[in-house]
Amino acid sequence: MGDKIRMMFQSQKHVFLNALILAIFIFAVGILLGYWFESLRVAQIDSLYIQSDLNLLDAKIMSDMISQKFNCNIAIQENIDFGNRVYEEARLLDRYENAQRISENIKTQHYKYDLLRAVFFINSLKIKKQCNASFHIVVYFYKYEEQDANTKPKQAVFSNVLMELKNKEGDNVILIPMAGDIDFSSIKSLIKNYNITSLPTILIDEKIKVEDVKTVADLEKLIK
Amino acid sequence: MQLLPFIYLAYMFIAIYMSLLFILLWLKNKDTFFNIPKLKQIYSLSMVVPCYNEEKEIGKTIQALLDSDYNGLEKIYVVDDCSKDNSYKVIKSIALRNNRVIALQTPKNTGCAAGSKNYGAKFVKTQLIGFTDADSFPEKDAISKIVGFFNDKQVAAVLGANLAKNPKTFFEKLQAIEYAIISWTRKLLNYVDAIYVTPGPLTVYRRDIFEKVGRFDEKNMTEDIELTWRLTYHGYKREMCPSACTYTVVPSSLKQWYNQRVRWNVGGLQTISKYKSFFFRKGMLGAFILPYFVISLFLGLLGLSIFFYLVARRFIDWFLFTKFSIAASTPILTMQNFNITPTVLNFFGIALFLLGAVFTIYGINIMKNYKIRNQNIFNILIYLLVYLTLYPFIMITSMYKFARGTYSWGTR
Repeated sequence: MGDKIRMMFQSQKHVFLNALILAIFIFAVGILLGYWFESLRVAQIDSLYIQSDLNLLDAKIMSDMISQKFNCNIAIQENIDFGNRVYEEARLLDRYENAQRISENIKTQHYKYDLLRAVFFINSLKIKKQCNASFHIVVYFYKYEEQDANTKPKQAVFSNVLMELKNKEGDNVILIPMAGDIDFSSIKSLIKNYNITSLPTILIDEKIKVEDVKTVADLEKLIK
Repeated sequence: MQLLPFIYLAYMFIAIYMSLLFILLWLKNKDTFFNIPKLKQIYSLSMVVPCYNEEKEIGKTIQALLDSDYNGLEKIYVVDDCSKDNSYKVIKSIALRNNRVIALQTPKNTGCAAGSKNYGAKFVKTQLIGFTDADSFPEKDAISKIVGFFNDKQVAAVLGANLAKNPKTFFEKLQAIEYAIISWTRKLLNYVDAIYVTPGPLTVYRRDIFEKVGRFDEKNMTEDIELTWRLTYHGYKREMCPSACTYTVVPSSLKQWYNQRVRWNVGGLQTISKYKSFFFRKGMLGAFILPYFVISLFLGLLGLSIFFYLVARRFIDWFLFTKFSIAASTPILTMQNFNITPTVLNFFGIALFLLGAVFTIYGINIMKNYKIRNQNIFNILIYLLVYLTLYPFIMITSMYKFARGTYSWGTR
């Protein structure tokens, strides 16, 4: 058997087949390595998600305890910290997602984060109401599934504007980016409740909807 | 998975396959790569040199042939195709001084090298007939190294290695890399009976077979490719002798180079068109040579289309992004733009590029004994990253000319 294989690799006639076998082998190893490499990134996002999930649970418990005369300030700060953390993780997720080529596992992570952010939005509304907090909730509903030629650059500018707004306003603003076109009933309900008809749309404090590109100054005016 | 990454992976697979094919062929045959068969008899040989407007080089070419150490070289027929310069005068003056040189002139300009070659071939009576371009210079021992391959009766054509003559400028050095790599891989293809061209700078044919298959096709822009495919079609062997070197003058300007490559490609398209019905038939012609040409053509065009699509998409993205950024008074460039996250395909691309670089350096190293000037890494990088990527653009021009039927040798 060994001799047969050796003979096959020595023969000129079989060189096309030999090259094909080797190419398939090398290619398969490459694809597996690529898959493993992308899985590492997904695993990193996953571990961040688990931590965020715990933090949200913590923030939720805090907000639930407000009625039991616990300190509002702690709940507000916890919520804001969580918002900042989730916002940073969204950027990392976005970078990794743009660099994903072989596997699509990261999409699931994206959906999980969107749902997490939806919970966070509800929690933020609750804290704001119960504690009469002064922070503003800015939800950025963007298109995730099918971005056309116009949407992609528009959303990139929306992101930049919101990033600037967040940098300027700091803890005064809770920024929650959320995919508006994914097939989950909670997200669909939010979209329906706030009458979001086009994406991207910025929703400020549940009342103001911004669908066109605006400057940071314009958004600041709308917040105030 | 999206379509584009899938296409990139398909390209990568083909590149890996072709690289492995050549690597395996080299590993199997490296010990005999430069072997020369022992000459069993002296075959009578005549060389034919087609010439058009080559007054500066033709004398040197004839001298290179006269210097040949092969005893069987009887005549050198130099065919002037009604040049507009003094080529014919130069040829005649040499012919007067040396009775082995015969000066010929076509009755009227034939418009192609094949015309002059066929015209000269009419006068040849020897067992073998060889051809050398008027701007090519075979080494003293090139012909004698080639002739031994004719001991095998099935061999119809034997070619030598073509290398760039004295490359001085940067552009000439890039072509020198290309010529060396082509010579190396052409010999490797020889081992699987897949030589697809018996090029003009130096090829010797068995004359009776050359006549039997009908000489060169004068309608084809690359008569050497067409004749090789015809020989393959008829089941004749083509051999290459990599130690038989011919140095050829390479184009010094981009325009000359572009025109030369367009002519080669148009000839390739003509040949594909002529033999298209033999796809996957007729031995190696249909099994490898024809698919190899067609797949290269397809991949080149697809690659170029993807390139234009990506450039257009990037441009539209950039334009809209700039428009919206101006409307929003936000910076067009932020630190985030420099925060690049590499994809798996980026790593694959780098690995493949390194494989290509190693392959090229190795090929140059193998052929270095043949006066290849030292090539630095910068030349090799430009060769891989710029020079080779120009080919799809040449292909577009060639296809346009081929479709319109507006091709000619240009200078004639």
